[in-house]
Amino acid sequence: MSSTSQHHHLEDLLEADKNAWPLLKSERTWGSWKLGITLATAAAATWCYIIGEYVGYYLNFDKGFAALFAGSMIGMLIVALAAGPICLRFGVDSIASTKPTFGSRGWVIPAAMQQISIIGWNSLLLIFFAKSTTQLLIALGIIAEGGGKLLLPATILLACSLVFIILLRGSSGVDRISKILVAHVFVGFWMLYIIISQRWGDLTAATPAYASASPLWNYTTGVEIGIVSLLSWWPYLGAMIRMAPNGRTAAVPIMVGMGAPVPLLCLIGIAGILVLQVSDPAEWLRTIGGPTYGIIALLFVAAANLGTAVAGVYASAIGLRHFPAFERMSWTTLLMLAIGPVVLVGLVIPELFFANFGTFLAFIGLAFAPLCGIQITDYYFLRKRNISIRWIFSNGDHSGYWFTGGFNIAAVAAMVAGCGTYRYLLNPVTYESHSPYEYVTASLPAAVVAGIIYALVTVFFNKPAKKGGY
Amino acid sequence: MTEKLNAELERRLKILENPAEQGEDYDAASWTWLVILGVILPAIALVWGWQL
Repeated sequence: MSSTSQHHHLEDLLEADKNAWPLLKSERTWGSWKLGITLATAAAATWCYIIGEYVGYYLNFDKGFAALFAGSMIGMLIVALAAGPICLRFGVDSIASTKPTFGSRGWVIPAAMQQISIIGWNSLLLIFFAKSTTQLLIALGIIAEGGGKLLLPATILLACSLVFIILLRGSSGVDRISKILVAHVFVGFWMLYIIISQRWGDLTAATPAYASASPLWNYTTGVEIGIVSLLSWWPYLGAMIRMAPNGRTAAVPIMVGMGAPVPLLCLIGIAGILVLQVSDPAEWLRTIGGPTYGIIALLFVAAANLGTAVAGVYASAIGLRHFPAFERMSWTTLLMLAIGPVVLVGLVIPELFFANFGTFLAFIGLAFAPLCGIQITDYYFLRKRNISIRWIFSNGDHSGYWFTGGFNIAAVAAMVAGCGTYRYLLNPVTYESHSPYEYVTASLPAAVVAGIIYALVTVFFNKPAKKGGY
Repeated sequence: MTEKLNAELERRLKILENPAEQGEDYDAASWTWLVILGVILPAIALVWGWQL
């Protein structure tokens, strides 16, 4: 290849990876290791401690790990089967992968879910980081107890500015930062070693604070928390795996890179909440090992959350590109739009948001489980893997994915049925449940019911009416 | 009726309409890994954890 054509190729790639356009084979150069490292960096963040904390409310250390590991890997598999195939075949993001199911206009439903989910997670991470920073500075005597009121917003603004600068280069920014920040995963395991080696006796004797009288309910809730946590990777996955050339390159990195680190790092949160009644390692490492350990933990929190926030904002910006209003917007402005809501939540309602994490997590399960059920049913059973890339990017009524006014009634009905099923089985606000939740979780039936309703409406309405390009 | 798409997007779509230019879905080896890591391993973890 001549230097001029190489230059044009590079320009095309730089343009394409800041757009929602499909990537060509020659542009999808990430191998298994690169993808695995990027996915691990995206997945391993301080949400692991909070997820672990919630599991530690109901289960002890061993059982908590088993339930969370099982749930996480099941959740990861569901996401890999739902968004994976279309993203891998055509080099598109998760939102583009929903157009065959939700329609040429109906994709705004998953797009809204994506934005809410990523904004929520990123806000949580940055608030967590700001809180840890404040705690550490108090411990080091740099600021007084009750001080640092300005520190929280200042830290959030600093973190958002860093994310913005890193992402100015598009997906290469995600890749570069991942190579550096992946080290935090190993620091996380070191922290786990510290608490296990120094407090093993306390850990095995600890009793979960809010355990129900039913051991089965507690165990299922641990599995459910694992599933919903990993279902929330759906919005992130497409933007990352579209850089890989095929399913073989992506399958193991998805499961091992993105799925497995979460339950492992969650052990830090489970151990922290069981032994010291606090899941933030920046706080408990200081208790165990003094200020030096506290600083290491804080650096870990900063690295972990920055890597994830970078991946999240990138996925969020690519998702926004599907909206016609943002199609031609400059990458810089689009990034500001993607980061803006995170800054607002972090500055205006940090405490309110932080205190309602459990509800946020359950709402993710309520929304993404049916979505995954719909995508799996459509791709494997109804379309039998036949997807038109042109129809995905055609927005008019000539597109096969136009359905009815741009919306697929089957997908809307299936979402309602799936959300209703979840809501019946597990109330996301109160965590009250109805049988058979303790045997089947809430996410799995929600996905199955959504899939069945989607198939029924498609077979008895869309296909006879020749809607949807089946 | 045809839709006027961005020239670069149109170029990409034309190329990707050729199946040989598309990425590949999960193959047999990928499915084996997906089943091992997403079904068998969680099943083992569930049984092991319940017995603890």
